[in-house]
Amino acid sequence: MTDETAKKPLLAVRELTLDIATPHGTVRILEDVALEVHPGEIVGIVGESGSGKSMTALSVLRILPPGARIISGGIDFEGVDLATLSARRMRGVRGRRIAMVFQDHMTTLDPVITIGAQIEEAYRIHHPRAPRSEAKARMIETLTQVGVLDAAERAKQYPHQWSGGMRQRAVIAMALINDPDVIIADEPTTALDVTIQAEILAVLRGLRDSRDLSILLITHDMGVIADMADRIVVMKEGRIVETAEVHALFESPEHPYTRKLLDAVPRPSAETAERSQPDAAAQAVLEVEDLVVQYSRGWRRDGFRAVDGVSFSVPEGKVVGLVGESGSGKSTIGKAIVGLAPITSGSIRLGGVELQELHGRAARTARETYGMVFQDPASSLNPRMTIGECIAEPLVAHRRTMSRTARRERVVELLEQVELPAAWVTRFPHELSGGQRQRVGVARALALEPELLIADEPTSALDVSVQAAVLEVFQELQQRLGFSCLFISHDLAVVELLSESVVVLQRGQIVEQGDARSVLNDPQTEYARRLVDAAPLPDPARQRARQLASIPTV
Amino acid sequence: MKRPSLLPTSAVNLVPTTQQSSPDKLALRRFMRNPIAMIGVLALLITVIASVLAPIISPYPPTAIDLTNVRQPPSAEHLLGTDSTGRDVFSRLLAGGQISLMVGFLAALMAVAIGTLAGVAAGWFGGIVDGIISRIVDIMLSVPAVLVIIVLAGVIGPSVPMLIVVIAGLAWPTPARIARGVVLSLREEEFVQAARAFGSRTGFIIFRHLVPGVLPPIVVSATLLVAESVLLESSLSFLGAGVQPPQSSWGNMLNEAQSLTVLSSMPWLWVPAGLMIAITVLSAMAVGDGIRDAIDPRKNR
Amino acid sequence: MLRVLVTRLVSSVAVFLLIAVGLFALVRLAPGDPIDMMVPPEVGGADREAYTAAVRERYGLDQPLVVQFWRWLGGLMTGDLGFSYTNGQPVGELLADRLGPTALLMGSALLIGLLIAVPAGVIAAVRQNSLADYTISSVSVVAISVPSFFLGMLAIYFFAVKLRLLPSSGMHGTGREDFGDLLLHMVMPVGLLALANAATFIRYVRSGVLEELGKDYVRTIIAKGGTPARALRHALRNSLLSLVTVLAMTIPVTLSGAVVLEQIFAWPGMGQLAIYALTNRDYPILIGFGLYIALLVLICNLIADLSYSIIDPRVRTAR
Repeated sequence: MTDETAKKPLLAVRELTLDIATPHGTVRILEDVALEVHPGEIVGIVGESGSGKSMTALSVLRILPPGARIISGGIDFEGVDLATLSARRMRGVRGRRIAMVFQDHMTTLDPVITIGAQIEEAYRIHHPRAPRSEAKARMIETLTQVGVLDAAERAKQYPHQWSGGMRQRAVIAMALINDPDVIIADEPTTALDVTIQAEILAVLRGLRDSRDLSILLITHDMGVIADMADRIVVMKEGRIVETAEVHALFESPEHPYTRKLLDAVPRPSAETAERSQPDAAAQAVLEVEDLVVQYSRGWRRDGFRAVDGVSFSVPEGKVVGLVGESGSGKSTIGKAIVGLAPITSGSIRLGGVELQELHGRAARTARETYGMVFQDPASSLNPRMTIGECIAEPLVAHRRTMSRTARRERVVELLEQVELPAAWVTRFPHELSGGQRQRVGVARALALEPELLIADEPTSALDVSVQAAVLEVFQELQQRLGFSCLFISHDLAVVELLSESVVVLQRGQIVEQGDARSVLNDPQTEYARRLVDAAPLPDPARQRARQLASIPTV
Repeated sequence: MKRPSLLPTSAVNLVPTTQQSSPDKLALRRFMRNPIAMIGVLALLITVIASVLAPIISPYPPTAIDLTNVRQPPSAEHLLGTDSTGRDVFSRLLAGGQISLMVGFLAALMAVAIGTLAGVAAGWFGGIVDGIISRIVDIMLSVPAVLVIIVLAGVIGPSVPMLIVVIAGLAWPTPARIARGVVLSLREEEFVQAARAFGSRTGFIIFRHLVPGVLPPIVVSATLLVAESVLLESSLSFLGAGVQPPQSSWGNMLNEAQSLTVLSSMPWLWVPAGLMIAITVLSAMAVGDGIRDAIDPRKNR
Repeated sequence: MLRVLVTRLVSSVAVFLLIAVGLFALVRLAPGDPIDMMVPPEVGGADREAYTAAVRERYGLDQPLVVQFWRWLGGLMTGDLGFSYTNGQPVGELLADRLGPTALLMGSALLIGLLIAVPAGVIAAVRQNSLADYTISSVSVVAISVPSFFLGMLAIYFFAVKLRLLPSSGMHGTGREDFGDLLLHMVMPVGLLALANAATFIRYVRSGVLEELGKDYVRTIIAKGGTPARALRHALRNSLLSLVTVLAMTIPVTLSGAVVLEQIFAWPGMGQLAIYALTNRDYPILIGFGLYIALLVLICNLIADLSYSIIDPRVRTAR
């Protein structure tokens, strides 16, 4: 690839500066952004939210939100400046020469038109005189290329009938059907499970190799970028802080921000630990036995078993990780423990007390012994309540005799524990950033000095650097206060960082459990192995050794 | 195609923070800055005050007949002239306002009370309760209110209390649907789940988390319902199924002006009442829309 | 899906019967004896009692309530709604005679209302916050707020009295049956009803299109190289799917507006008959109306359910 960089770039963004007019005035979104994409090259843009990486991608195709304006700079593509091209000629570039793959949402595709028709539409826009049969043949051919089996039949289905991973293949097929020179992929795998992500990345890589396609890949995930990119552009607050070849960037990052970003990424350890059994002597705070959670689906149909016979325990003062992909039932287990999901059968014992046998007041009192941290910092705090009121809520529920001043003191103490200024008690959640809100969530969970903390994906909505800070606070508190914790996450590296032991779930059942290091480095079961292998490592050399070789079919 | 998510969080965080920035106070401030809504508030206030003070302001008793002074055009003694039995139109307009606004406000209040209870119950309990309530709401929403009230007025006889009860009985599905929607989404919000997980009492959850969330959209719905009820009352009184003469209401004042002679040569008999209905309804709608925009500035703006 | 529809159908029939029972009970519980009104006031004394008994027997009102109810229900099943107390004509025929003019009024108003609302709503959504949007939205708010009878009277004042362009009332001029004359008579009532319909629909279309335009698939189409018009076509198609359901549900509601306008413009439709029944306390006609409303509402709801599950592939293909 290095000799190719000497050639003329296919696509070049020159000193691009972009403003957006908002009700609060004009905001500068991009400043002097410059990058090049050469034929057959994968260029990755990484950055945290607000870095302007997506806006850079959208600028290339001029798919900008209203109020956005390119102030200076340009986008060179085959001798023309896309920034000033006429709308009509720009449409000839979009989807034909430069195509786009977006993050998977339910609505990325038109919900009321068949998948096939939508892919054909991409072809017919640029080949208005081509017969329908030709468009259809191209559609089937392209869908097959991205690994969809029986494409002719399945193309007759609607988007809601396809899984997220398949829809993403459809979107890639839509981008490919006109044989473009460049594909811009904006967080193409962010909404997908790791095993599906690995497949989609393999599809993109395979296409680059077979078609000499250039890809501009936008992602927040250092693992994905290490896996895919030849060259990496690091962005922060609308500017490029560093551009480097992938191995060079990961081995010797130049800019302090890049270093900070790389340091923030939790890494799985390389060495394999001894297989050790969890210390049987330790008292278990939480014991889950043969837990079944079944949701009913109407009167007649069989219920859906979200959790199907799960047994594990959390020893005193330890952190146990609960991992699995979406639909594995990991969150449902957390909900069942705190009483938000129905327990169909089995038992949950908290400090030796059977939760199911408790009713009314006793059941509520039992809830003093655990706290819970929720996933979404945007929705886990009531927007109408102050930070102080949010944190005080468990105190109000369980310490009814506590005086107002004592409660206030406790809230301030908790705020200080999570390293937030005490003066923030009167602030409202919308005045805090995501990471700060999540600290408030931790403070609230610790208000009653619980023996057990249940954390349901507490950092998955946060940027890596913010995640690192929150995890640090969390770890420090856990060691100082000594509570036990059930840590639910899809991120294996985070779980390995925090927990002593781990439980791997698949479709509501336990696949494997044991010491965290050994399970995550040397899984014994096929599914656990697949899960571990699919998680991309933020290390280009190691990651590339484990890439999927061919385009997997679905 | 607005995508606020594309704004860098850093820019959002730069917005200066004040200690008094609860979402409801911010909404109130946005509402006060909306000129159209403020005009609506003012107009509504004047109408309400004038109607409440009607007995004091009225130059004549609204039902005082004066057969020597029939169908007089506006003059110094009779600001808006007199009707076919010599009653003072201005006094009747004030008295009519009293009835029309009372019907409007009481019916809206009742409808909102019933609707909110039904909607919250449907949203909170879900399952069969939700199924039944939602089905009733669906059907009720397509009921032609005017015709139903004509039938009922024909069978049990028209009266003001009947009017209020029946309008409320027909109007509650709108607030019910809104309350149900809000509760359904609130129930899934993590802060409500958190409150349940922490063992907060149900009463606490309802009053601390649900009510404050349901209230703003319900206030919007209530304002719009006042507008709708005033409109409905006037239509029915116009048709003879509502407020019965000699008691005056804005609607039945127009009823008396249906003959072509009155229509063409005595505009003082019908234009003021028609304008009052239009102004009242428009004001209430403006206030309702203003509150809605203030609560959710992203929508519509 | 078929099962859902069957359930809906069965429950609709049940609801209809419930309403029928309710109406029957309401009339029997209502204050005052309707028979009194059917006996001419000049008949007095013992004659009056005999006369009343005869009337009672003729209408079957001398039977026990349960018998009366079963007879009435049996009649209902065969389409027999009884006879008007005031003019002796069969209620079914009376209603059927009035159906035509009202259907003409409502049908044309619905069509014209849609022809105005869809383009206006789309323009308001596409040019959000522009002068055009504000104008369209303001006009629709005013059209909803100003009572239709006041607008009707203003229209008569200007177009019939002052300008003498249009006839002020009725369906036909005296001695005229031609189509041109009918059209002239239709302009004001249909125009005003269409305006009211359009005002309601515009809000649905505008917010529907706005919501769809904000969805990701619109951006996908632009990224494919599609024109803004193509993207709008997709968005419009999606938002009109829900409009069909709204439309089916709104048809009975627009009957309210028709009743009011019929009264002002002396349009010989169901509204006038309803007002006649109201002022004369003609119970059989009123019950007939009650049943008619129930039937219309339930059928339109069924149509809404059905159209929703036929048009929307997400519902259609759901198992």
